Amino acid sequence: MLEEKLYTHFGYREFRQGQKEIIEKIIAKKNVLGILPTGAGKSLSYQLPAILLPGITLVITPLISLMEDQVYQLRQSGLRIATLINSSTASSDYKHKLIRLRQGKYKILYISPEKLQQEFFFKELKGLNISLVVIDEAHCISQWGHDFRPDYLKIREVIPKLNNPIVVALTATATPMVQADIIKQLNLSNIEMVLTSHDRENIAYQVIHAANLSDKKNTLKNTVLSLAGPGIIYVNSRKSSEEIAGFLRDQGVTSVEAYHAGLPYDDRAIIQQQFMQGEVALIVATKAFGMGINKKNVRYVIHFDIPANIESYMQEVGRVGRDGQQGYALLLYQEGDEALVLRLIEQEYPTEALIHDVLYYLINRKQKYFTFLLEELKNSEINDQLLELIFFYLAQNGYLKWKKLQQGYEITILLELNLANGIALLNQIFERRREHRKKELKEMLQFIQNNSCRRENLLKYFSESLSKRPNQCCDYCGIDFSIFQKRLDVVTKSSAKLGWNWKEELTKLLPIGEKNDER
Amino acid sequence: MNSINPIPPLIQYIILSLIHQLNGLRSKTGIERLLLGSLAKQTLQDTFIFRLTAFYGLFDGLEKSVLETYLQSFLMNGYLLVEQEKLILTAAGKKQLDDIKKQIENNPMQENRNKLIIDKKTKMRLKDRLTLLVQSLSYLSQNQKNFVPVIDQIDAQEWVRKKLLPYDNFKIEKLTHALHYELDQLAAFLDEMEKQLLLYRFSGSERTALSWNQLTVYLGLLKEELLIRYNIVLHKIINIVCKNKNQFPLLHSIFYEDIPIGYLSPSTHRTWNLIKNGKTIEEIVHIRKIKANTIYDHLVEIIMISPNFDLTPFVEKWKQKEVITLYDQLGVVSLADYKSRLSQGISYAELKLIIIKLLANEGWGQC
Ligand SMILES: [Zn+2]
Repeated sequence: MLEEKLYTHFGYREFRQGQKEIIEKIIAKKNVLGILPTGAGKSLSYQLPAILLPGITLVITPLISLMEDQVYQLRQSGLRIATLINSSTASSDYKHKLIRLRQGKYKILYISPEKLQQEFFFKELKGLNISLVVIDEAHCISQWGHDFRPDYLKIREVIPKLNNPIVVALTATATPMVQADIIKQLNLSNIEMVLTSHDRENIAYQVIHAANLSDKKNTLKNTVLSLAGPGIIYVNSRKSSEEIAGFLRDQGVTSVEAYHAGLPYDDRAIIQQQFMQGEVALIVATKAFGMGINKKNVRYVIHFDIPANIESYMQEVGRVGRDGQQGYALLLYQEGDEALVLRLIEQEYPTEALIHDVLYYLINRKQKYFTFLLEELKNSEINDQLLELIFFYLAQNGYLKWKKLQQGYEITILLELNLANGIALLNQIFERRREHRKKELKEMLQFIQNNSCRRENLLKYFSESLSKRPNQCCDYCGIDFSIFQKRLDVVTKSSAKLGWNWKEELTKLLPIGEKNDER
Repeated sequence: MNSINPIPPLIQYIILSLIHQLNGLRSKTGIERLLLGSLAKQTLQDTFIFRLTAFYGLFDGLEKSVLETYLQSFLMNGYLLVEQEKLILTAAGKKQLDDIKKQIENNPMQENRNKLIIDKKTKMRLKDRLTLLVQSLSYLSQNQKNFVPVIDQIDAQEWVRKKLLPYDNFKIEKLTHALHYELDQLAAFLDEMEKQLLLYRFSGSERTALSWNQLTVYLGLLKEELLIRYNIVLHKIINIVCKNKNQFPLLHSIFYEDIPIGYLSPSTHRTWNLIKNGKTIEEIVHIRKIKANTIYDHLVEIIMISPNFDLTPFVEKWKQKEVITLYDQLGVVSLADYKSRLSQGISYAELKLIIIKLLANEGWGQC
């Protein structure tokens, strides 16, 4: 029965692991927490119910590129049923979309979490018949997750006001501790879990210890030159993204580009597209790359720098082999690599000086209710993220209520703050958070240093055990490298052809005349 | 920007030539703002009055610190000096400018043909809409209906969507031909490198655009020079298309259809509405509770885009005549030079209005 629907709407004959269980529970009007590894078809597990349920399915996701990708993917399969609204949606466009939503022209609406905090938008949402709320990247709701977002916590206040729709929380990676926290934070009664294994059978894992930087670069070069792409190399900074890409180019790797958040927007879009189209075979990226990218045939991921935790590592490695074909994950480690990550952890949370400045400002404002701009605090290390962390924990302890506005924040003071106590409280909280992140990093290090099966160690981290060892498991169990070797017959397309000719190039872009007639 | 690289001749030419034209009149900040395309009132008026439209916003997309490095090195090697905070081109600087001029083959700077102030938004609109239109037509003319747009600007996406309606194969073919034809016509005005910059930043069904880094390798130029040359290409296109609207109807529609925000600032807009209702400056001062000088600035903004604006209600005829006579003798120099040769009764604000109107009548600023 469900299989029939799957075939009619998506053209697949059978479900992948976990999908059917989640869908059945949704249809039976049960709340679900689903853990499906990257590449396991997470989105289909709510898209099919969205078609079957009477009302609209609201999908909350933090990544704009991911929304666009989903809407586009659905269209590609002939389903013009989804749309998206985020902060960059133009107002004319926005009105148009709302009208169509009211008319029931869409079955799925993708939104970013901060939209939920806008009253006028939320009023519109309440007017719609919402049957299902999907919380994508649900680990963002947990303070213990690797990507905690305070605005995700607002979701639980919102759900009851939408006539109690069915709720589905989905994530690719979550330890049992994070799973429990997601359920607690969502505050939902009778939530059922669908857990699939974190194991990705078609990925072979390897860790190589390098004696020094030049050894590490040399290993990278040799690996890249021998492997069949496409591939992604992850690094921890914009600077090394450029440096490593330049180094590989100098070493004769022809088709390699750097990708990081410091590039102009156009260039980021161009490089992404080149990678998708197979015009570039290798990307040296910071973790900014890959979130919205749905490239099925990535053959390998190499970590040139140590990831901050096992969840991030799994997510990045998870971009390999989404077509089900064999893939390879290499982590290069040089003793002391963790120092940079430790520095980043320190910067991730407010310092005592910053906490002092914010609290001092709030107390001396001497008002119960006010709006507040970032610039009003003359502190050079301040940014939205750090400020929101402070607000979040002050709110959690009952001191204030806060809301993000188009510009700045709206603050309502609930309890009188004392400077010294406030600093002590927040310092303690952030110190705990830092300790937690350091513990995660330590676990990552342990994974690297363990002298036993990589796959089993990864699964152990998620409290799972290995059910079946694949042929290509890891460097301990043995890998047959010949299957990863570059084949000479595979040539990547290149975008710049030698020999420039205006007319030819223009006709390539905008074909006219005979070319059309041929078709 | 790494200091080992010598400054490319074109960049030297742009900076030194601009300072030459504003010799001793403007500070380092003034020069920087003009090159970076600031929307500050003073910058816009400078650009207009000194006919520097060809220079305006050429460094758009570059870091301000890069420009500062260039100026610093010119100061160090004695091409420039600072006197009372104003930048001055030295004799050595003048000689360097003359030498450089001879060195540059096909100098892309066409100071006299570029009469428009092209702000960032107009440039972005052209680039985004055109890039997306090319990509859409490229895919759709091959019957490929699904592609990931390389431009995520909602304005551009909406504009292209509308442009393609009513959507059918005939429309796609017609538009593809029209755009192909117009770009081909445009090529007659561009040199080879400019043509490459234009096409290699477009993505189509057969290939994706090239990133700036890739173009650096491909064209053998520094990224800074590429970005400046790309700005020059965009400026050129807008100027050519404006001058030949009938020859380029499709390209013209790109920057004049559905402009989301008017050219005038909201405050100027309110002033204009009052003027259209016949209010005098004194009355507007009273109604809007703003200074008369602010209203004069609004008038400057209005005249820049509407040369037929009648000045007579605001500046007496005899004053206009006197300034026009002097303009015929002096041409464009600093307003201070004018002021000293005019009757006492003519205020600085009035003088500025008349000069701006004269330039507007000569076609500066008009599309
Ligand atoms: Zn193993």
